[in-house]
Amino acid sequence: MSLILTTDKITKKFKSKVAVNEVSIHVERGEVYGLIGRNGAGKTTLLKMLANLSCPTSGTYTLIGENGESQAQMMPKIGVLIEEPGMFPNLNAFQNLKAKALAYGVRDDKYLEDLLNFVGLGYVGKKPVKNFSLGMKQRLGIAMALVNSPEILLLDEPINGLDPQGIAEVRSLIHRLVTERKITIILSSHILDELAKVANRYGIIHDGVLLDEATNAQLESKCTPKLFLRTGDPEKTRAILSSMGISQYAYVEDHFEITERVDEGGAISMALAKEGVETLEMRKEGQSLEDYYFSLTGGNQNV
Amino acid sequence: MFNVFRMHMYRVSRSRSTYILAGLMFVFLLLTFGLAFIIFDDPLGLNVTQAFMTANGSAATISPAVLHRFFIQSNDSVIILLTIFGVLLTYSDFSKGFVKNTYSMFEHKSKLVLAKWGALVACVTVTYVALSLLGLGLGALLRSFEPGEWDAYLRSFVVVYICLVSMLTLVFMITSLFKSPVGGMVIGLIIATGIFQTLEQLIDLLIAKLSGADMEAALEGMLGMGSGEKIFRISDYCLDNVYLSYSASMGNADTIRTIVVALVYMALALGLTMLLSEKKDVRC
Repeated sequence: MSLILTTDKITKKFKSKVAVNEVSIHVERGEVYGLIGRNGAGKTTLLKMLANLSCPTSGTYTLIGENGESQAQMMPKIGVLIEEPGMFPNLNAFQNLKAKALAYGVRDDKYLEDLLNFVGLGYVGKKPVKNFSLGMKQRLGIAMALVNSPEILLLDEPINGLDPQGIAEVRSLIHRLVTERKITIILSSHILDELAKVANRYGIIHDGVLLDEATNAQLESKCTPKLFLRTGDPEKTRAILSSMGISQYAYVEDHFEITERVDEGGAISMALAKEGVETLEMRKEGQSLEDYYFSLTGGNQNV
Repeated sequence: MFNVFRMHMYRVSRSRSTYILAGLMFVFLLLTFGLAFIIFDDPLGLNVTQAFMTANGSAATISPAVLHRFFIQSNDSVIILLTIFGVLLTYSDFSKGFVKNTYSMFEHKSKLVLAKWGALVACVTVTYVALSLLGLGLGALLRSFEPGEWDAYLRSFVVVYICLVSMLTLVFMITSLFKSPVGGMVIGLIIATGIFQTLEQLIDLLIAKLSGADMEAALEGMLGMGSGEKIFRISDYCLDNVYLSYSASMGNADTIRTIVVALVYMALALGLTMLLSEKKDVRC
């Protein structure tokens, strides 16, 4: 896959506060890039800079067109849904969509109707947007972000405040955008479970700093539950593990990392004791994306 | 950029407030016609026509240029309603967060500013032409209306239009840069009511006094009575004053000065808005 967006040490300062600090992310074409971070971590500010709604204090970002288009040519190919969708409350869904479509030179009303159907709002008719539920507004916001047939879509907390049904609808919409329309999506959220269901690459951001960037596979390996085991006699331990039928482990520095039957720590400990091998340290590690996030940020507040 | 202009025109045409303001303008124009009927045709025998004519430097009949001044230029409600319209057009996509949909379109936000200003000018032009024609049509119903002096009317039509667009550009600038409707409304009210005109004229007197100019000539100039002596007056370069004091009977030099002052204000306000918007974050 090729890169569609990169940032180079992009920074945003508000007076003395550094909201985004030298963040360099790499987004590949066709992927769903999940920006993870607690409230106030800098996710929205980063997305605003990418959407041209906010000017970086320093650093740059580069949009790369598939056919070698320049940054200026790529700008109209960004779809944006930052925080609450921006729409005129007294206009109906179609009129809001049409207003945005005109700005992008899209004159095809049938296309707009198709878009409304795509996000499941084909039935709303002339109902003003002010009477929409939050989920409906969010779906209309996504439809508006799609008006210009974007190559890259920036979605900031699109499931915030939605009920379970609304969350499922938006999730399914995201899946369809990636599979049916081949759109690259950058999605921010502090709801890790939901993000894990749609993203295939992550950027973990904390206090404005990008702590880690990893693909799903890399994260999986980092998050795969494993048993950390340090004993007084590594050689005997190998033999005991083999006798127990445990073969998926690695000896790293001075300890074993067992990735098989990780819940059987007690049985392993008993077998070691029976053979006179002292267990110096044993713990279970890397259980979930959430645990991994906490291990990086050193806390569990707000996520 | 033209597409963004079209977008603004579309949303204005779909907005209820546009039609409410248009309706209000029509009502105010009818009320102004009622006033004109009472003043000029004098059905109640109030005998105020002569006083009005003298103040406007006109003869016993009303020319199209005088009608234009009465219906448009000196009509506070026109300026106030146009200001409200300008503020609504400028501010609504900020207040509703709609700018988030368009600001990622261009690397340079100044293009979006220019497109929105273009939409404002287009709407003001349509409104101005409609109001002028309506004013002229209603005025023609008056007994004292005397068609003629069309060159003066045309001059007045152009100068007042340029001044109005210039004032609305100021309103546009204040509203765009402060992302608030209050500043723009205040500017509109200041211009409509002429609050600052008095202050500007007092400064003129002070300058005349300090520079040792002939005070009598300065006072005559201030009252628009025409003085042979040309002295520097700060009010000659203030948009509100040049607009409110413009008259079709002015000489060429004063007419050109009025146009130049209005164009300079317009260019400065638009240029500043474009320049500052370029580096400004979108708050929504």
